[in-house]
Amino acid sequence: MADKEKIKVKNFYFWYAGSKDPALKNINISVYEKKVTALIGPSGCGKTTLLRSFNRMHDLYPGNRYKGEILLDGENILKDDYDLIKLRSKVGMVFQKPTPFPMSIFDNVAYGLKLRGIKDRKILEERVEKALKQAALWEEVKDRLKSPASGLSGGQQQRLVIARALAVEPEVLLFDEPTSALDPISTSKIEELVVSLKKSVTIIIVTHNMQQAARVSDYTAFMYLGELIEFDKTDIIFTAPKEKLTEDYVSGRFG
Amino acid sequence: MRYEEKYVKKRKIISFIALSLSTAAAFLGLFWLGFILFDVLRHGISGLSLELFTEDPAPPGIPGGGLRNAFVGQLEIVFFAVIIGVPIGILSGIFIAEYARGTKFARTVSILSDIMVSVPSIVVGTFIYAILVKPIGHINLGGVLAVGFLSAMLSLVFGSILNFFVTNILLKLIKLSSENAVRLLNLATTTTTILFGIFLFVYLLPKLVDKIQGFNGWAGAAALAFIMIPVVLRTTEDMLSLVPWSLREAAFALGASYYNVIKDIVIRAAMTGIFTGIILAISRVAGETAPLLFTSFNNSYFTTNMNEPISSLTVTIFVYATGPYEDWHAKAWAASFVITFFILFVTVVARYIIHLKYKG
Repeated sequence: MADKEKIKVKNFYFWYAGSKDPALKNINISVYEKKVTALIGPSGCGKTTLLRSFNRMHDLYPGNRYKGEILLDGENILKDDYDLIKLRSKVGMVFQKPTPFPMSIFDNVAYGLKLRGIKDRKILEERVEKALKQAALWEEVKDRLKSPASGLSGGQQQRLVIARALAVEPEVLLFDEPTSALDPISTSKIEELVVSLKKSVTIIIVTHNMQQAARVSDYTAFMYLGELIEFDKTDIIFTAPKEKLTEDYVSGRFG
Repeated sequence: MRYEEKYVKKRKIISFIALSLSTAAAFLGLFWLGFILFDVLRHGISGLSLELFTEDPAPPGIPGGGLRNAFVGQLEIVFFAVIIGVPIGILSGIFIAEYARGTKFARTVSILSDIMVSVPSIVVGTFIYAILVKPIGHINLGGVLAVGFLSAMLSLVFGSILNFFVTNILLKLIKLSSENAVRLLNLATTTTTILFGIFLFVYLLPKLVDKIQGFNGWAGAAALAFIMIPVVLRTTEDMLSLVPWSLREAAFALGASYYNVIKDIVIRAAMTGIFTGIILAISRVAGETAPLLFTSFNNSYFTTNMNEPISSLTVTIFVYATGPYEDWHAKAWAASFVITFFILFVTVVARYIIHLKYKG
């Protein structure tokens, strides 16, 4: 494996507030730069929990606890004094349901930039256009940038949200089941997008859909009951997994 | 098969009955609303004239004159009630729904507000009377409280700036990082802040407290604000709670601070509802009489001085409608007409603006 490590998770545990049993147990995984890593596994296996640890989304709710290390470019992001705003501008996130903000299409994409103090109209326009083009939405919305984002279709909204995350030029992009609320055509557009985006960003995607994982990812991690069962190149996971559990799951013989 | 058909028929009948009953109830409500509006219109429109708005009242029993004092007084009282009540209501609604979400304190405040919404307005009037109108000895409790509140707020601002300066700039300049030194500095700034607050209080008290004696416009505005606060607080809280969490998370994920999330996303998403709450609160207090009877009282002369008793439309309607003169009754009708249709107009326009803005 000649790929460069972007994120390294070492002996990572996670507890939700008020829970004695860890939701994630002793996770060790590497995420490689400018590759797509898929997290698969049955519901409740902890894949979303792990994903939300990469931008410390769990910190929004008091009482959640981490143990272990998550190294982003060698620096532990779980340190108490790690600046969350800095982290979240490096690690963007796209959620399950499209979350357009109640503002215009343009303002949606420009929001992250404005948060970073970019006020120059010209720079904003350039970056918004670039992000919308990257998210393959530019052609559809270029004539109505001023209209509310809520007027877009579900698939367009999801691409808008991706554009919004891309506008701040993150190094890593987290996708939490980004297509589960979308129809097949929108889904295939998002999938194409994910594949094209790995030229510039490292991508981690949580998905329930194994075909999707097989189609878009370079690496796949199979999780079960809070543990990482197997992690390898996607074609190995899907054709010659080492673990029986993985084989059962990817071949649909689970349960 | 047979059983199912019977069942469907039964359901249809029940559905028809429910529909008829709710339609009838809706029309019954609408009928009385229309009746009131029509009656106010019928009686009020004849008393309308330009003098009503431009002239002050004539002496009792003498026809002519207008209600300029009451219109101006009403607008002034409601204006200041909004200035006091709306920010407090919105900010505390934000605190309850966002920063203190899910805490016992938030639930308590929420329940207390619900109770406060249903407190009879005359009770609010007497309460404000007790603290802002009736002097205790020769000083006025409400005045003391107001000066105390003002000093506390000013010293808080002062203290925050001082603390920021000391901990962020001074500490870095002298490169001191021991925990005890930080604690000592914090103690020093806290003490300074408290001393500053006490100084302000002592300094401001004699200057401000004697200005207000007896019935006054401020007391009226405070009483109305008091009624507005829980209404605005609860609607704000409810509207903010309706904003899905995923929207907040999405903003956090972009690196926004909680302040930014609230200001740019949550408030924006809940704007229509909050605005409706404000309009609702304004139209509620604009029609209140009882809390003003004890506070701003009434004034047959024109004044804009909030330190004096000040006339309001509702109290004037009360006095004129129960008075002995035919001319007063006509004026009371006209005033009722103006206030009713003003509230109606404001509500409709506000809703229309909201509709335009959010239609997209």
